[in-house]
Parts: sequence; C-alpha cells; structure tokens
Amino acid sequence: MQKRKLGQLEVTALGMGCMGLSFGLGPATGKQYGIDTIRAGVDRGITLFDTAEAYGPHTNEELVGEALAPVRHQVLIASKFGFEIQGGQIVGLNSKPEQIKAVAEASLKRLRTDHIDLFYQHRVDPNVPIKDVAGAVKDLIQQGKVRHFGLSEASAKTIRSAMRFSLSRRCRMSTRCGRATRKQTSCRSVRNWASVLFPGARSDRAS
Amino acid sequence: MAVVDLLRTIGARKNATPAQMALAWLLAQKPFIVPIPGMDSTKYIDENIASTEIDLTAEDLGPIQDAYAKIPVQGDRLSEVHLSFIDK
Repeated sequence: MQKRKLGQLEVTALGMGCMGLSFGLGPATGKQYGIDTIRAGVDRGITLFDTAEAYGPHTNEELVGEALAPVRHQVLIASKFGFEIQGGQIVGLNSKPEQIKAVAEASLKRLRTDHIDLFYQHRVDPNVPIKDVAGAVKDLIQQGKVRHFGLSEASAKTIRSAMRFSLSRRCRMSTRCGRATRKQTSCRSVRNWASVLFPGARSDRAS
Repeated sequence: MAVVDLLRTIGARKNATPAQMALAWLLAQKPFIVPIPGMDSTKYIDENIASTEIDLTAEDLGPIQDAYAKIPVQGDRLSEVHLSFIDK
C-alpha cells in the first residue's frame, strides 16, 4: 500500500481502526477473532493501528497489545487519552496533566510496549488549557514513552494553540498540517468512519 | 440514503463499493489525510485496502461534489451526548 506522512510519521495510506472489535459497533468480537483480524491487517501491510483507552474501556488496548506484541517493531500504535473513566464507564472528560501521565503508563502496560507512537487527546477538555495538555505529552515524549502528539475533534483555534505552546521546530515547519486540520471541518460529516490525524512534536527537536 | 446511492452510482463506473468510494474520496482530498476506518473482518480489510488503488481525478470529483451539493443532509453526525464533547 502507498505511504503517507503525518508530520514525520510515515504510515500506510489507511490505518486500521481497531475500536469496533471491542466496542462501539455492537458486541465485542471473540478475542481470538480480534487478534486474527488485527494480524490479517499486519499481514496485508498496514502499519498504523488505532485504539484508545476509552474503547471498552481498556479492552481494546489489551486486544491490540496482544495482537501486535509479536510484530511490534513493524507497526505504529496510536492511542488516545482524555476521558474520565469510573467503574468501567466513561463519565466525563479528564485531560489533567497527572491524568494524562497515569493513562500513558496504564496504556503502555495494556499495549505491551515501551512507547506509543502517536498519543492523542480524544476530546478537548474545556477545563484544562491546551498548553497544559501539550506540556504533559511533551514530558512523556522526553521520557521516550510517547513519540508524537495529536488532537481529535479539536477546533482550529485549539490546534493553533497546541502548536504554539508545545510543539517542536519540526512541527512548526508543518503548519500545512494546521491548515489541513482546519480543512478537516469539511471532513467531519464523514468522520464516523474516518479520522484525520494531526501530527505532533518530536522530543529530539523540542525547543 | 441519497449519499450512498450517489456513491453507488458513481462507484459502479470504478467497480467500487460506496464504502470504497468514500475512502477514495477522502484520500483524494489531501495527501496528508490518513483515514482509519474500522476493519472488523478480513473482507473489509481487503476492500478498504483496494480503495487506495482507486484514482479519483478532478473529472471524477467534480460530479461527486455537484451531486452531493444537491442532496439535503438531515440530522447530526453524532448523538447529543457525543456532540457535547466536541470542541467548537
């Protein structure tokens, strides 16, 4: 499959959205079926696999982690933070920096890996300034636990703020991506099945 | 649904399903757009990957846009609860 660039991240033109194997689109599939399906994606050359803490919650990351563990070096994993989850239920938003860091640790365990290639905010938390969110992810990037930062369902204003506050020179050079995400507003009508990602910081270029 | 019918009609010329046409359309918008569709079976994985081979030219995209503009779209894309989480 052809490749595309999300900032510095080179991925196949389509990523595999793993959510539906566990959550959101009817009952979860059997675990072995889920693993086999994800590995079928790997076998066909897909290199980007998308999940989130909120999918299940937690069970989809566990599935993705188990399925990809043997081929971890061949693939990129994207996951998301940003919800408050209590007793197995999503009860609200939470992107406080300490929450982001705790979610990262838990996600790394479930994903059976030492780094998340793209860690992005699932929904913007109106109670946490985006610079604090970006700062928390930047710390994770500097610790090597996360490689790239992104946003989901963010307004153009939030995206611009995030880029201004946190991102590296390399990312600032990628302002075209900022325009892309503004353009993305027009894509929103089809985002039930497609998410358009936003590329982020690299710790090695953080200024 | 009218939009699906539109994609089915135009897709027939490309031997593509409506879902494949939707992915091909999105890929044709910008080179840095990477859709992440759900792929809950190997059949869908294969169908989705095949959509990356559908080349939509300006001559294909124009009529899609024109026809789409004439279809009134009703309702929201998400439930009220989910929409309440969207940054505006």
